[in-house]
Amino acid sequence: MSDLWLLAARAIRARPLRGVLTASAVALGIAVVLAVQIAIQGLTVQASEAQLQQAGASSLDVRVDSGSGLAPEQIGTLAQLPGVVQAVPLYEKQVTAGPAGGGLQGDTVTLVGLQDSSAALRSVSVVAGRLPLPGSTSEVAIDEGLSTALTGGTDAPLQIGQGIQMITATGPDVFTIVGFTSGTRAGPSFTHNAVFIDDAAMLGAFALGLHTPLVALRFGPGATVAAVSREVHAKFGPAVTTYDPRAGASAPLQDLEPLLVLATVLSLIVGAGVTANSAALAAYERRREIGLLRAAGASARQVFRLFAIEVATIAAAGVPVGVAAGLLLGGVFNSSLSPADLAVPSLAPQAGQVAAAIAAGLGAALIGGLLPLFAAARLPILDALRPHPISEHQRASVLLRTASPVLLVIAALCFLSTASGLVALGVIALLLGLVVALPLLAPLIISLLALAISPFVSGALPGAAHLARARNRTAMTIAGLAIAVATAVGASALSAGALTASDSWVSHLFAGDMVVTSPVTQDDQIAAAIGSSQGVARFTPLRFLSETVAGASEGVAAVDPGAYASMGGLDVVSGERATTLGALENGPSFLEPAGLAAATGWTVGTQLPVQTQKGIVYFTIVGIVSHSFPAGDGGESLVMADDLARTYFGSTASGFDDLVITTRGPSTALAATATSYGMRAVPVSVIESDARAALQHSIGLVLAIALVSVIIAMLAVVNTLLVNVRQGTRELALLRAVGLGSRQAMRRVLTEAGLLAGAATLIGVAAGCLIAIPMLQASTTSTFAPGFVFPFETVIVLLLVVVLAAVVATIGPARRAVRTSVLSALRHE
Amino acid sequence: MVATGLRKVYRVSRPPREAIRDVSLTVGAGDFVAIMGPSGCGKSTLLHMLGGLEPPDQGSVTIQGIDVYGLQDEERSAFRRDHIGVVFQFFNLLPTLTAAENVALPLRLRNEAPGRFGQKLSRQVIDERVNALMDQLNLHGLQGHGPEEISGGEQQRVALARALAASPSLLLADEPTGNLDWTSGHEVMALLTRLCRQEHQTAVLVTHDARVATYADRVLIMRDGAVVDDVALDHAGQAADSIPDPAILVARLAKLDL
Repeated sequence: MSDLWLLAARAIRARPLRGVLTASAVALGIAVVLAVQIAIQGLTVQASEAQLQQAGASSLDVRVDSGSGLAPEQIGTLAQLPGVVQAVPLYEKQVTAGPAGGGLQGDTVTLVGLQDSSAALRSVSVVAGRLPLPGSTSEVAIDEGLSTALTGGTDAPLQIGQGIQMITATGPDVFTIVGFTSGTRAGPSFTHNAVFIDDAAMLGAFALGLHTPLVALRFGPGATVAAVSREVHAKFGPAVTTYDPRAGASAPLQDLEPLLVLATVLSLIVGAGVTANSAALAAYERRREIGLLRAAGASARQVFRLFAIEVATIAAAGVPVGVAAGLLLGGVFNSSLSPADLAVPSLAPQAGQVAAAIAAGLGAALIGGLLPLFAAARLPILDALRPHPISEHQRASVLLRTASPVLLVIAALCFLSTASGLVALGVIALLLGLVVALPLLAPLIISLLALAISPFVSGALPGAAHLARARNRTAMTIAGLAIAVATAVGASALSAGALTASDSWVSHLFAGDMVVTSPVTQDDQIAAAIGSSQGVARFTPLRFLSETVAGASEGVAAVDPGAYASMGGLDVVSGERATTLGALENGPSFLEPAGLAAATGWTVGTQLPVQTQKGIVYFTIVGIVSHSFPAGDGGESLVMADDLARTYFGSTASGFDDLVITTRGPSTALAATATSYGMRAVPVSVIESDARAALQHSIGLVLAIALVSVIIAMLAVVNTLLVNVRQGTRELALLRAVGLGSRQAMRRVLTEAGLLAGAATLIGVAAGCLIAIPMLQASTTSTFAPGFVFPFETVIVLLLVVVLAAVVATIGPARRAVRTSVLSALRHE
Repeated sequence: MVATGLRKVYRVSRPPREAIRDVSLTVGAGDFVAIMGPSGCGKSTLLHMLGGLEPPDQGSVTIQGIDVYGLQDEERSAFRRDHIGVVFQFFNLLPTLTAAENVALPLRLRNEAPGRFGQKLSRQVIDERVNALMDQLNLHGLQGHGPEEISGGEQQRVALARALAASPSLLLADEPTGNLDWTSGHEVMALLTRLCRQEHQTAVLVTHDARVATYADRVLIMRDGAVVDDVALDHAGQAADSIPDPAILVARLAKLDL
């Protein structure tokens, strides 16, 4: 072992706890970087796989939303296009279905044709049984939701092997259920009330009135989406739309990525701060050792190398633990962030990710750790040899004092923008500006805090004075914790703002307190039956449609404007509410969600061509609402009057998908009635909770990283407190020699710990609120505008946990220091 | 060693305090010189300046023809390591190293940075040198002990052994017995005397104690930053471990009202 390595090893062994604390901080820094990479990669791969699964073997979808869709000769033309090796039509038909032997009455279901057990080149997700065999004309697989809906919600849902009756060209025919399918995952044209049947039956018994809304094209080698799309439009003009089913495999955390990167960078800064703190403490505690080494002929470079070896060794020890913790944390993030209907992504970290995490964590630690060592190595020899430097008043560096305003001005300039990258830069500049101002700010806050608690806690003022004397060390300790708390508070404020915005959205959508949802479109008699249940005061139906508006497919929600005018709901932002809702009933018109208005430029008065049963009809935008009901494409739908929907879209617009209900008293009877029809009654508060949970799910990742930062920063606090106690042993003994009691001494040490942690938390909370405002502005979109909400619960929890942890961590060493005999402590060096 | 026109002013105090005023001195090879005077007279500052630890505001220190303060910091560290040994009053030993490892420190530091003033030594050579020194200073058997496991006198002897490890041309000792009882102090001083007389080691010692200064061949008396007397002491015929008589020195001090 080299001679400096020997010295370094001995020094590390002499302070094992400091080594463990510092290595833990480095490990957590590496863990955060690795876990975030794993989560982003895992969830992106998962989203991409889901998208590819949805696309199936289709390279390009050709759609026609009007009329009966694409004609057989058009399909033939598509199959002949250059580069296309297969053109598979999707056959759809609305039919009435019910249990076998149930008469001619039933529910409207969507019949979807299968070719070789796939629909338009997509596989269909089977949850039980199987799909109809190719060529079969008597088998069906039905959506699992239909098993209860088709029986009218009786206690005996349909089973595999049982029959369902559907109206064919020759009258009611019975088909055998061979399997159940799941949801709408299989493709954009498949609806939640789908019944799958082989094309042999589709083109036979159901051939009359078939609808072909989509043809899936499979490409040969060399064909591109752009080239084939051009060919399609050259042949058919604007009558068809083309859609790349593999496009839009968006990264699920894309919106959160700037925030995630920011939180990760901040946690790395906190980790670097811990190492800096640890290195500075090591250099400070061993300054006389440095003096001795220099006097014995060690050069400044050798002293620097000695401490650098120590820092590097301790940091390196954190690497394997950090990688293991990162894998674990990544697994937790993956499983907690995965949508419930998708499999948890497999934990497959790449060597590059691990290397990047190690480089980032280790790099930050080394940069943080080595900076104080430059100064330590250049310490004048005689200054280093001077005993008891703790008694010296530390001064705030002039360089740091001037850097602070510069950084704060940079932050302010960045905050003028709402671009997430600039805001993130501004947040980092603001926090660094705060950190460099801490040698001045921290003693002030600590003194004020001590003054506030001094009537209740004796020893608070001397404790504050002691911390103020060592202002640079106090600042360095507080810095990491303040940044970590600021990140946590900022993320919490963001979360609270988003949740409030979400609550406001949900409460504006639904005019009642309960929503009855149905897996299939239900008819009006059922609405009346549910509406007459005990406890129901009022009800209004909702019907969700997909129509061709201005040449594109748009979601349209049909509502009763009168009911909304009287019951509330739908936040009209473009004019007087009653007038706007009244205008909705006066002619073909839409209410438009603000997000869609921003995206399309359609404003009040804009007339839009809509494909209806009466041909193209121009609908007028009569108002803008802040939010509307979700549309199938992830956006928000246009809103129109339900009676006009029936006028223009015929029987497809009749009935209801959801029923919004205002109750008076218990809703048990309502729930029972809904269940009896195969439907579910859900309180609006539950929908709010679900929306909240979805948001918390995402922002929770940022909050989790921030909390890990708090833990990292606490390591620095504990480290400093241990040194404070150790170095304060002699001072305590002097005080005890002149009459200070053990209990008083103990209280003094613990008060100091509490003051340090409390001041750090308060500064962090203030900084967190400051950074939350620009972060909220950067998160604001036309459809989502979260406002600032003070995260009261988070702040209280952080304050309690941080202060308690600091005090608890100090109890052991403080007790040892107080129990040390006065004479022995006076000899303490 | 030749020191010429040394001057040092500490400006941190108000008004600025002149700690060393135009001090010049020459120490020949094998000389054993003591610097003494009352507290605050500048003797420790002078010793630190002679040892390359405290740059003077004016003047120069030349050791074996090399201007110590004409060297860059890195070179001066190496020069100090190879040519100057220092013993302080207390906190002389690194607490994490054993006695033998403390003694070997200058040699290990030299090995870490072989260069202009040194050559790499094998572990065996270092061990032999350390053991020989420890035997010579009556520290046999304490090689593996930590600083906290040995007495104050033993600690100072270990510090002396470390200061001598690199065979320095100049040994500087700042109140080496200030923290020890008289018996332990005598042990240390007797060792130092023997080294100077038998091994021709050049040494400069700082003390405020006339009994300790009397061990030296020459005593420089300081007052208010200046050397006010230069007393030669004749130890001819005295054994190295005998206790010298401080009467002559005390009489000179009395004349100076010190």
